[in-house]
Amino acid sequence: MWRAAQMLVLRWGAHMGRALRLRFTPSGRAVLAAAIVATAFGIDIARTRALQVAAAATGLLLVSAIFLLRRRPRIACSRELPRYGTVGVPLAYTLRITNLSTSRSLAEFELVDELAASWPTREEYARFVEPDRLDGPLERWLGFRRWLRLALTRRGGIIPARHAHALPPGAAASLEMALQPLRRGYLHFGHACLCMPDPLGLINALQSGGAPDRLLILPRRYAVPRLDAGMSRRHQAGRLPRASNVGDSQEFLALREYTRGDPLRHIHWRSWARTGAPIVKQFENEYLSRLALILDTCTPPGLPLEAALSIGASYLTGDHPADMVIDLMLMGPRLFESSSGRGLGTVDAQLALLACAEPAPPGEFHRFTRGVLAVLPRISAAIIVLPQWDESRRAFLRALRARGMPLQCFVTSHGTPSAPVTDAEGVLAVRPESMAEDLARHRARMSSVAPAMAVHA
Amino acid sequence: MNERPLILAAALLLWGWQSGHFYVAVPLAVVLEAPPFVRRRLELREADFQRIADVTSVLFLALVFIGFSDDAVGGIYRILEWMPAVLAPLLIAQRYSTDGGIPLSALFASFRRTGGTVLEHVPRLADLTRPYVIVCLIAASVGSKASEAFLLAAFTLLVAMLVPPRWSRRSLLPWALCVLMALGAGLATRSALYQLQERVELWVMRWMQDSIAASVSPNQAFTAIGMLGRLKFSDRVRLRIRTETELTGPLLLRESTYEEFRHGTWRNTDSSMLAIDPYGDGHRWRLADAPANASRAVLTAPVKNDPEVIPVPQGAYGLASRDILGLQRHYGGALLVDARPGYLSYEVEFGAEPRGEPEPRPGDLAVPEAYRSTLTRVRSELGSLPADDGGRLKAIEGYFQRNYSYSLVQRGRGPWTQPLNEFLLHRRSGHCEYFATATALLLRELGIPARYAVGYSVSEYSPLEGSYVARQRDAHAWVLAYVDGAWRVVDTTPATWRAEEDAASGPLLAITDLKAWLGYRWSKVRASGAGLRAALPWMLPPLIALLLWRLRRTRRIGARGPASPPASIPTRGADSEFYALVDRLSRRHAPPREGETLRAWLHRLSSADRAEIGRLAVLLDLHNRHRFDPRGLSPSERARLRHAANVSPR
Repeated sequence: MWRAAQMLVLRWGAHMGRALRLRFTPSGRAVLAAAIVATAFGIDIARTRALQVAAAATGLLLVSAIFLLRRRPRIACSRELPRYGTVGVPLAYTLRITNLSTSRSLAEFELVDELAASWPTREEYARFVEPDRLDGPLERWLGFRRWLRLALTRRGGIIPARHAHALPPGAAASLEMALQPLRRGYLHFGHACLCMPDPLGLINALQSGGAPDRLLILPRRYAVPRLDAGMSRRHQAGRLPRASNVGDSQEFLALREYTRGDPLRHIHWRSWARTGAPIVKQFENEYLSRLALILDTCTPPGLPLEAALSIGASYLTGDHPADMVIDLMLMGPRLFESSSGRGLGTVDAQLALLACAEPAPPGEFHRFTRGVLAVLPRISAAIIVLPQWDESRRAFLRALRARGMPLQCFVTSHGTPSAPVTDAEGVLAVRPESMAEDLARHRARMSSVAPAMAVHA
Repeated sequence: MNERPLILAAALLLWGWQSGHFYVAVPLAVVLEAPPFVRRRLELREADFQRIADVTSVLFLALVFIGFSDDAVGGIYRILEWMPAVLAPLLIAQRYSTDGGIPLSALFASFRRTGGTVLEHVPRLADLTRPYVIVCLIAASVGSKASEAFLLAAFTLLVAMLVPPRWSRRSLLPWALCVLMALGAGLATRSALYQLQERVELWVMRWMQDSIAASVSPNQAFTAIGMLGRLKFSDRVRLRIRTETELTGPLLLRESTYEEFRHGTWRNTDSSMLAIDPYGDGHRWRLADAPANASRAVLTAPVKNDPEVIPVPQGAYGLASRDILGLQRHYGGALLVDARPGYLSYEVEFGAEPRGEPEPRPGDLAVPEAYRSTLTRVRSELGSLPADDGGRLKAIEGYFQRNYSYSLVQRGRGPWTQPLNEFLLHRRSGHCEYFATATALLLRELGIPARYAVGYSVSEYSPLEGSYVARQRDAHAWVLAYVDGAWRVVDTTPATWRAEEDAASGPLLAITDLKAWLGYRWSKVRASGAGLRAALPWMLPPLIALLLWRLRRTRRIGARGPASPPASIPTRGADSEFYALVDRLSRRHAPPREGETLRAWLHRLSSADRAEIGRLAVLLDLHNRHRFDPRGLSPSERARLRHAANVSPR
């Protein structure tokens, strides 16, 4: 009961705060505060004349409010968004405002483009932990700041308001907006809101426009060590790095008798002539060079998981041979597998999957390893990113190494104080707070040694 | 950060003018407006701002202590009055620092834990100029004297905060017109706010009267001294009194007496109680010795609390009731009973003069220092007084009757610090609490022990009730004076008070009385335990009336004719041009059958015009998205639907 009431009050408070922010200018908020405080203290007219202050402030607000009745021109808004954004990296996009009216000008306005509000549920609020925040006892009890931070995280970004000049009838203006993404995944844009103040500059008339949009925000990406471990095709002598066909190889291996259904172009005419029976060319299967990107998401939310996803995104968007197929594997409600390259899929889809990855329950790790080991026979090499380092993950890595394929394993966890994760364990240790430095160190070390040594196989 | 020069100085000077603290306001104004002429700035770190804020907090706490220790009720206004001086260090730091603002961590202790940030997009620095101007305005209002000038000054200061940083010829005229309109609106709002305040104050008073004052506290009695506007008391019947003989004059029923007056409240310095044992059958109590001429009355009063103060006639010496479980006498003379909640009936034996009162105490001669000079002036107006206390008493009664009048209305808009002084020297008009308080203090000034008494004055006989009644508005205050070795009742309130109270009664008095009587009878029936049988005669008439009303209402509804059709609910996508197209196709081929979907219908028509119908299926998709897709159609798709539906098929 208390929790439900708290959520109602928190949501109502956030709504009120937003309404106050949009509807009143800073001067308007000051005058409104003066009116409210003066009315509260002015109730005892025998002791104070604060009601006079309240009357003066209310008079100003009343006249400002009259201007809300003004007819406003219709507008159209559209956004030009980039393909991707990156967490924590400000990005610019364009918002185009068109005054659709043929007779009315659009007065000077403040443009507020907001990400769509989706208020946290009670369960999300209860789950939301902030180890680095130090709210006092009162704030913890009220919970309003924590709720605001959660709401902001869910919203996913901050877009500062932008001042714009008047727009004559039929005119259009393109405004450069700045977005500071706060989380990965899709950010949803709501309607843009035009705040047009009255002549006294106290109360804004609001006009909204624009269609909802969405933008994919990727985890931060870094320069990652290159995995070059002779990932050639198996069961085939020569390397064919630029092969344009997928499936049968162009060079035949042997001859055999014709069986029903063989394509005519595979008939070996000279042998037919020699033997008198139809003979066809036999080809060997061509295997693709498949790199598995195995991301362990069976871990609580936090910096190690974000670092692991960053490494995954860095490999997906980095340089890799054009003939390579990348198989992304991560755990969600089920084992997600997504391939890209050689016509099997796009990197965009994999990036979206990765950007929207949610932490899976830690108990799901065994299901994840079973799924990964099942598809391993068709994999040429693997990059494993583990946000945790424990005995079950060590066993998983041993099982992968037993297959004898080239692989790189990153661990983004510090480990425990008694057993910190180090490179000596045969993994590439990456600390979440100094990812760029750690990855650069690994890159430099691996480029200075022989390719065969660079692979922890 | 101060974009508007001199606004801080103007706010401070207004405060200095209204409060009289010029010696503080002028130096502060100079210091706060000097920065444009001073090149040097202080490079204050966040910790420095926090220390300055801590100093301000200490100053504020000291002010709170001083303010509330002097006056528990009005202390808040004393604190408000000095707030500009308390907050000045913060403003000085802002004005002279290189940052030009105050870090949030200095203002809110909780932000210090998070390094000054709460949310990423909240600015780290706050500009205190506007809040400070508002604080100055409200502080100035506390000591304000000139009404119109203060309103104009407050308005000008608020407008000065709104002056746009840049002027253009086009924007100046509308802005100036708006300011003029706002001034008019402010004047109108002022009178509306004062009327509203009057209503709120009365509402609060009535609420207090009904919920708090209905049960008198033997320790203290709040008075309405200092409240402005018209006092309005409830007409609700509170007491029922049956006497053996007809009353020849008003009967005073006393609830309690008090000895110390301070800040509009009468108190008793001692809250001790004395239990009184019953005698005889255990339901009778002796309060004092019986007088020669005794009377008897049966009173009925509502009991809410346990224990509850019951009113008794001034000369009460004996009490009897089967419903009273225990009786105590308070230091102030109040009788407190233990009884079940509900209506309590008790029989009182009483004489003409107060009996059984304690001897005078030192507190009965105490005069607050704040009123001493006023009382001295009033005493000089009394002229030469007789030597005996009885003569002095008569002189004082005569003085109030001649020079003062009764009024339920207090006009004027303070602030004055001592409303009783105002009553005694200037207004000379007030209600019974003014008269009783002033009389008690004046008697004490003359060396006669006096106590403030509250209760009811009963004189109204109700034929409906068959008894005398005391309404809420019959609540009265008077004085007990110790003269010639005995306590005597002194009531200096002009006798016109009752006529004024009666005139102020509400227009629905008869209905209120009937409701009160029915409620009283019903509670008696319930208390008697007679149950449903006894209640039936009381319940039947309203039930029959309700039944008749319901029957009549049913017939009325039937007579109204058919109900009007419900208002149509706007349907999403109702503006789709596809509907017109369906009409055209229906006319050209055949309309859809009952229950047939549009897609099935188009499919059926495909044999008639295959190419055209195939294109229409695409339009149907757009139409369905226009109706049901929450994201709707894009402008181009909408235009396509509009165009295609209008042109095909003709």
